[in-house]
Amino acid sequence: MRLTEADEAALREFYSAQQPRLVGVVSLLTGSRAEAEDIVQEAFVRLVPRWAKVSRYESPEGWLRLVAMRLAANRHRNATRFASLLRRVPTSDVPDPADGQGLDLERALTQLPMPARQAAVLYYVCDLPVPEIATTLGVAEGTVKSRLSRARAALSQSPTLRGADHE
Amino acid sequence: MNDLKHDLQTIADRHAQQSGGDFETILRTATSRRRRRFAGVSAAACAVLAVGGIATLAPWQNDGSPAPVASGPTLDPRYQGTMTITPATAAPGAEIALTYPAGYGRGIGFVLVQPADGKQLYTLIAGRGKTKPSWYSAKDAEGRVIQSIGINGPGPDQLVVPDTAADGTYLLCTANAATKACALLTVAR
Repeated sequence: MRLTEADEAALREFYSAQQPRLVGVVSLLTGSRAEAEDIVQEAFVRLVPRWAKVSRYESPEGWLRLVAMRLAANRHRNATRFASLLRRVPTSDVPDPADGQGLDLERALTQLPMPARQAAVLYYVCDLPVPEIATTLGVAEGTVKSRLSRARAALSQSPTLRGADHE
Repeated sequence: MNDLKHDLQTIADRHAQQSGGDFETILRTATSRRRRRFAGVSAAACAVLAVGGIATLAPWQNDGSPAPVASGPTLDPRYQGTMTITPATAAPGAEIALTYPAGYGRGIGFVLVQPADGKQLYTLIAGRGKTKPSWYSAKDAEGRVIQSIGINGPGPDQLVVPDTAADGTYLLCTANAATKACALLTVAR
């Protein structure tokens, strides 16, 4: 479906508003900003032909986030097959410009299983309540709570947070 | 848990601030996919018409209008100038050389990706010293282990085009570099 000028302008505005934020969210899932940028781009490419319909949704950003999260999960599944092959080059050899504050926590997050990672990101970063996370991920609320509990336990061991007060 | 929430949001915000993207590339890619789908539908429709024409023994005439041409994949502007492949078009089994801007750090692993959907098709391993470049298809890569070797500098890195790669244009990217570099590689027999 070809976009009208008005649709294209609206989509461009939506892109400007949502793209950076979504890259930030997906980066936490993938552990790589470059990978997140690719995934978000793919999500927007899929949005273009559906924009006339999705733009009328109550939450177009919710649709986009769901697509991006599924793409990230799919890529993660594929990537685990390459896990041993594609180990990151040690940062002592190749400094990562993205390194900095929160790296320990980010690493701890990428050590979590993808379902727990998704739950943690949706809950802590996207501020979604448990019932909405359950709907988004297609699982029971109890499952979300147990994934969050697992994530909380693992992330609280991160040096970034160790020593801080936790509930 | 407010600390956790705050820290995760801070990390997400940092990535958001440093994110790059290009809306025009998204529009181009979406349009290109639509054309490919249209071309596929047109081809199928032509086949049906041709079969129908033969069945009725009536001459089938082309109206002369040009068929939609699918435009080839384009490189995301984020990756422009990050890596150069020489030659950019190569046959299966041929060696190619990758060069980079000075000081670029990467490993010896690369991935050959289907541009349309980002699907990884092959893993390519650069040659090092006496070790020749090699490749594995996605389904054969499971369980394979290589050393994490960091390389800095302009290259060249030597790779070999997979023997079983179909003709077409692919995205060739670093697999485990801190900063991703990509370029388009055309495989042609």
